Amino acid sequence: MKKATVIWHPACVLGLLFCCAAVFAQSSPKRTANPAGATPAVIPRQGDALAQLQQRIAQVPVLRGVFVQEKQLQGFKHPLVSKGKLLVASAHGVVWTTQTPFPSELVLTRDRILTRQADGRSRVEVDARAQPALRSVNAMLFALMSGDVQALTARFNSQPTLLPAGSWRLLLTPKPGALAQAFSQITLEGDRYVRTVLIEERNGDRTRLQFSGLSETPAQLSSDEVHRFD
Amino acid sequence: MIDQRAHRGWRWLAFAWLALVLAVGLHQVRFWSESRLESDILALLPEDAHDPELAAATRKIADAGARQMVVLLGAADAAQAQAAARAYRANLQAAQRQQPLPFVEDQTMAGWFDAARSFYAPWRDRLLTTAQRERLQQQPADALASEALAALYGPLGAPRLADWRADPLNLWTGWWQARAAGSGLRFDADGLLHADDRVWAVLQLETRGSAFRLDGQRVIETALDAAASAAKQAVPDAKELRAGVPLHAEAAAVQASFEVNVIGWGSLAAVLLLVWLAFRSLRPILLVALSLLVGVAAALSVTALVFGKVHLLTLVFGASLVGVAEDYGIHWFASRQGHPQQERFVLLRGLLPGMSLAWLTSALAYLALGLAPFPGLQQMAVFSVVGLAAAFLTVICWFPWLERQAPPQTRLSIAMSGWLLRWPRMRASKPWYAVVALTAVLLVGGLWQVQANDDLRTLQSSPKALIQQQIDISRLLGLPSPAQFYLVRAKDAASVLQREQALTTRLSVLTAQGKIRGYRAISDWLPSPQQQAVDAALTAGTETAVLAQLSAATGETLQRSTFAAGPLTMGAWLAAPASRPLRQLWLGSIGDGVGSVVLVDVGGNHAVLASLQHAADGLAGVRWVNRTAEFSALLGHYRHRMLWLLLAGSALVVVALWWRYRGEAWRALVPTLLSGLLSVALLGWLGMPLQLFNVLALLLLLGMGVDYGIFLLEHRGDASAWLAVCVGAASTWLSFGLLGLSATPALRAFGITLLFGIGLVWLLSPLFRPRSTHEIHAPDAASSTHEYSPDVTL
Repeated sequence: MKKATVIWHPACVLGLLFCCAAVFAQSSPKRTANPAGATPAVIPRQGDALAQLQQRIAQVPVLRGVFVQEKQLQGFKHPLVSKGKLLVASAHGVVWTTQTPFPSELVLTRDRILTRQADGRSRVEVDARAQPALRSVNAMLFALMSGDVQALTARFNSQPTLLPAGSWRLLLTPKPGALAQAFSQITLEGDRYVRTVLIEERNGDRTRLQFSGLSETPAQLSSDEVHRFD
Repeated sequence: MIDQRAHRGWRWLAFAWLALVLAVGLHQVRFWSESRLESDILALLPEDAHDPELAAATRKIADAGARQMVVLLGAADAAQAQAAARAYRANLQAAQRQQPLPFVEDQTMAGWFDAARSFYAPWRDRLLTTAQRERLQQQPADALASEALAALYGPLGAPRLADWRADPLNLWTGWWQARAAGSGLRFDADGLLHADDRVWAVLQLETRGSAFRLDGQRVIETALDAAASAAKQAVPDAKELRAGVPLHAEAAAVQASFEVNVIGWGSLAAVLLLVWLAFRSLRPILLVALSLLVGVAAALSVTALVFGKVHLLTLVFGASLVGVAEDYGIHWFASRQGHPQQERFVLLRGLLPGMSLAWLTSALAYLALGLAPFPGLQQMAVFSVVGLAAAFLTVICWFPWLERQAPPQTRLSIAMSGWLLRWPRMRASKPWYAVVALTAVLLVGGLWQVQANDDLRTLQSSPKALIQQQIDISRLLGLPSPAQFYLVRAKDAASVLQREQALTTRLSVLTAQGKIRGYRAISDWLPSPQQQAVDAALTAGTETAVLAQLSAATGETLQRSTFAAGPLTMGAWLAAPASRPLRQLWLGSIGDGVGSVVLVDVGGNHAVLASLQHAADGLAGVRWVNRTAEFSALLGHYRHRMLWLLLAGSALVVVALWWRYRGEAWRALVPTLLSGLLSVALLGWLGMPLQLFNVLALLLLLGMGVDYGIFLLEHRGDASAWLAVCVGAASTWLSFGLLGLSATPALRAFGITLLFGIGLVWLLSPLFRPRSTHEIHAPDAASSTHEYSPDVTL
């Protein structure tokens, strides 16, 4: 019965989402009683640190920026570097536009993950409606976007560090489960925004993301931008 | 004037019977300590003796599920579902510490995916989905390479199950995803099922073969109920569903043991009460009880010896035998009461022909049940015939020795002869014409409304709630029904897989059209060697080309991993834990070849079953099997056959009666025939369907009902005979009435038909009794002068 449990390793998807989603993480974690008592979650002092950390992060409806991604894969001598633009709209999702070296686009919405090639061909990689595994990933993303710390601490042990001048570092270690099989740890660093993300996978692959030129305006999506989520 | 030698003969007979009874007693001790009871409904159905391959397939499917149970715990979200599952498990573990439970949680599937993934990995290049195959064939290597590059540089590494170099196009993940989707499993990363707006935790339980006994106790149910309430305490809106053969087996055993007790003890109590009322002394009670005990014990032993196991429904049916087998003992005491002066062995010799004949007709009627090739009915037939014979032998071998003083006249026995006198008699008069007309209207009206129903489910007696949960779980988990399947045969495993693939291609179309929800076939998990070779060549070609382009684009030297040299074979697959969920579909060698089964999940759309046969059209070695439909057809077939047998039996009885009673034969026959017809008419009026089991009951009615008429003709106005008839009929009537309360529809049909029939025969027979020259015989003045037709040697 459990054969399908790990088929959709949501880990890789999550890795990406964190960096984007954490940008929007709200400052006030809603403390709803956890009826399951499943997660002893954050110890108080850490919880405070996490709350303070979240307060440092801006909450905006739209964020645009530029990224540099450096992937170090096993079997590759050189890192694979790609650059491009990033659009995060809390109401819609994320558009990740790689410009060099190979143009392509990845769109993530509540229901699906879609890729577009340079020639305009697009393909639905994942339909969350057909794959509940992804639905839970998406649910998590949106939980993160709304600043629900419960969702985060349910799957990760978090180690927040508050740095001087409004900076912070958040170390996430996956709890045992599907995530732990793929990831060893994820490190987020930033101030008002997430600035760098380091994803370390179990198999030794590492991905470093760096964001720059982040801007909150205009706060409305252009019609072209809205179109990309379709 | 007793012949001394005959006397000695009787003594020997008594001792011989004692030896046999002791042997039966010994066997009984062993039987009950081994508990060879069976509850599987399928065991009651024909084994396809004419089709050993089909029988093997069915047995294999049944065996695979015989010990499995599934529990689903649904809650509003994942955390709550897991909390409910934790509470459930904790409760079961606590119960286990107190007292060993007959089941354990099946943990073998926990690490299944990882084990299966590493098992399949060397053959990754040989496993493609149809869509992947088309994509690799149609898209140029350039396009594939650029997609691979985009994936490589893109943010979404795409979830992948293999090392990048071992699977640059990420085909492996797609293959597994298709397996997951194809098998109807919709689980999330934590193994939780998302369905019906709930999140469900799935627990698999398995009974421990040695510990699981059907003793009529609710062991499993009690344990699961406690665990469920613990889960509900942890998560108030948790919903629990459970399914599995052991649950039905236990419910059936509990039900059967309840019914055996009600019918058996109820009948016994009634019989003994009647005996007390009729004879007012202790010895008849003890002796009649003894004859019943010996009868039932012998019936059980012989049935167990003949069939290996005794089905619970046989016991339930057998319990009603108490109300029939008591006849011989009562006959004896009634005669003794009526003719106390007569020497016991002389009396016995006088009774013997009539009693033997009565036993023979009843035994023949019961044997007719066994004519249909249903093992369950055959068990019931053997059980009943042996039980009657043993009770009969106990009476004739032992009673003359054990009973020394004729029972006195009692109020009941005196009253009985009075009743017989006052009972109305049919005659040509206006009121009787009216009664006849009314009866005719009732009869025609009822018969008009009777509808036949040969649905297999008449054998099903599981509680409705359990059946509903089984249906729900089958729907949620996409479990195919084991009652319908395709049987695929060929000379070797490779050809079986190839034939399966021809079939699954069609089934995929039906799935895409939404006609079925999915199917389960080995070839989905183990493609035929031919298919594997084609796919291996395809992936080798494309992936090498793609890697060359990627090497050029990235400046790396990317080498394709190496894979297994030969195809994945059936032998290797079957030996690996990876095949565990699918293994039972492989039938192994059948006849002169090998075979497999393809199961279909119709998703509750039973209407589609009829059309699934066409999916096998034109495919060599593929055959659609619909067990439910076949059994229903079989039930219908035998309902017709048994109706003819009933007619033939009636004709036979006419001949036999005419040969002995000539012009008065109708007096014995008409009450039984009329009762049979009226019983069927009553079924019609009550909206009950006519089934094979009603017809079988009518056969029994013919065998037993005619007896009453015969007694009234044979012993005209003899109060002792009438007493025996009345007490016998009353207890028979009561036993079948209790059987009519059974939760098993088949037994209920049987019981109700006989309840109507026996009651009616009993009421009707005296209406047609002949006029006697001496209407009243004071019982004490009785002698054996009332025997009819002395020309026939008894």
